[in-house]
Amino acid sequence: MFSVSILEAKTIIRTIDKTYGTDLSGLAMASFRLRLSEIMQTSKIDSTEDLAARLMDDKTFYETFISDISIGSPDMFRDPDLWIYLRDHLLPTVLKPRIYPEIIFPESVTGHELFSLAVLLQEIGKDYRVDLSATCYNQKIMNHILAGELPYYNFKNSKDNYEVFNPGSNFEDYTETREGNRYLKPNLLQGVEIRLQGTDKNLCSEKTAIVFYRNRMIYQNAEMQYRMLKQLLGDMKKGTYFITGIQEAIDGFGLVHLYETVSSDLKIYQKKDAN
Amino acid sequence: MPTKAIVIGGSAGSFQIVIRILELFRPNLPIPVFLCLHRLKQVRKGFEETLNYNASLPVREPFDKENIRPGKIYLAPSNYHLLIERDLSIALSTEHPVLHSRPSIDVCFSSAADVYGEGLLAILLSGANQDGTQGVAAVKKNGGAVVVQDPDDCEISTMCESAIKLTKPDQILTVSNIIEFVSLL
Repeated sequence: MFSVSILEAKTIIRTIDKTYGTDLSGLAMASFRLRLSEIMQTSKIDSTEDLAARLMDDKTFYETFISDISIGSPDMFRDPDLWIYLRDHLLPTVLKPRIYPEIIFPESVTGHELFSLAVLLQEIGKDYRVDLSATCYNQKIMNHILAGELPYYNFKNSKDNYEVFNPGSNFEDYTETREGNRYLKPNLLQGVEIRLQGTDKNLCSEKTAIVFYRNRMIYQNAEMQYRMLKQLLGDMKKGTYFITGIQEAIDGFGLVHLYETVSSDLKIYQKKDAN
Repeated sequence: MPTKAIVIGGSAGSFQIVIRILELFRPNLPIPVFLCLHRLKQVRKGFEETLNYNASLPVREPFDKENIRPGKIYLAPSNYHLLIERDLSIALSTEHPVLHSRPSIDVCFSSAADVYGEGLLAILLSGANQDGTQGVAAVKKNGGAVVVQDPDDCEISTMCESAIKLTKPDQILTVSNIIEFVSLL
């Protein structure tokens, strides 16, 4: 499972940076090595030298590699108690008084959190006028999100989660099967804006009400976590909510003066004035 | 080589044994223990509390990047893989399940083997699938020690049988022998 050493992993990171200018040095090493080993196994590549050569020579392979090395967004409705809280408490408070507030999902990979919120908004009705947007690393990932493919294990986990979130309702109403594969219905993303990462000067605007950044930081090393958190909190306006993964902790970065904790259990925070 | 860390993996039929093991660790155990147990993915609460009830050492579901301390028992959180970084911190992951399991014993054991090498002791208990087989192999490959519950003594023997088929453990023990073994650590 860990057939790639730290030294070899760092060589791959340097190769990619040198060839494409993509900096992966902020990734958490243990899970990066695990994914590297898996990619090499599924691509039938025997050594990291061969992997480095293939990455340098084959841009299409490189783009697939970036997509594979980027961990998918969590399954839909992962941590159902969070989604129940959003539906019953946070969204009514946050969205009702505003016109077209924005909810952002940075660094999306599969878009499953985005789809979850789209489902939730469809279910709670027309009173809510919300702009949903997501960012992603490259066009291949964007196309993947837009396609809405839901592989079986994602479907099963998402369905199980949804049934806790909304017992008695049918998750399959939001999916369709085409040529034997299951997809999320395209209308869920109607009006949703998906853009490439780094094309904005600032991620957030005055309209941004909530930033979803769940289970993204676990794939970053501590230095990268600090940089991302500082940047995101710096971008947010006062009052913007910020949601991280249930097992992600942000209190150790010396940035506590920038946010208030809304729910320590569900990891919901709110930006406050720095003073 | 002294033991630097213990990993315990189990699934169906292992819960009662784990409870008994956790009662036995001496309060000044100078090493960390990692518990990777298959559990319901939508139920976040109750498991940690139940394990803590009679445990001699604190059991906690760690946060990502948490520094690993001796004398603590780290329980893989529901629906996360638990890995260990070389700087002795916890690394969690939501990567897809391995053999339908998240947390995966294979992932946890392999990661611990990579970090602790010869200093790792792995204990594999009763379970209903083949998760743990690759993990046990990784522990042995890296020089660690492996104890597997005797399949004849398991409530469900699939997990231990599968591991033994691929890797020769250092010891195959019944529950009572495992309990005795742990009490001597």
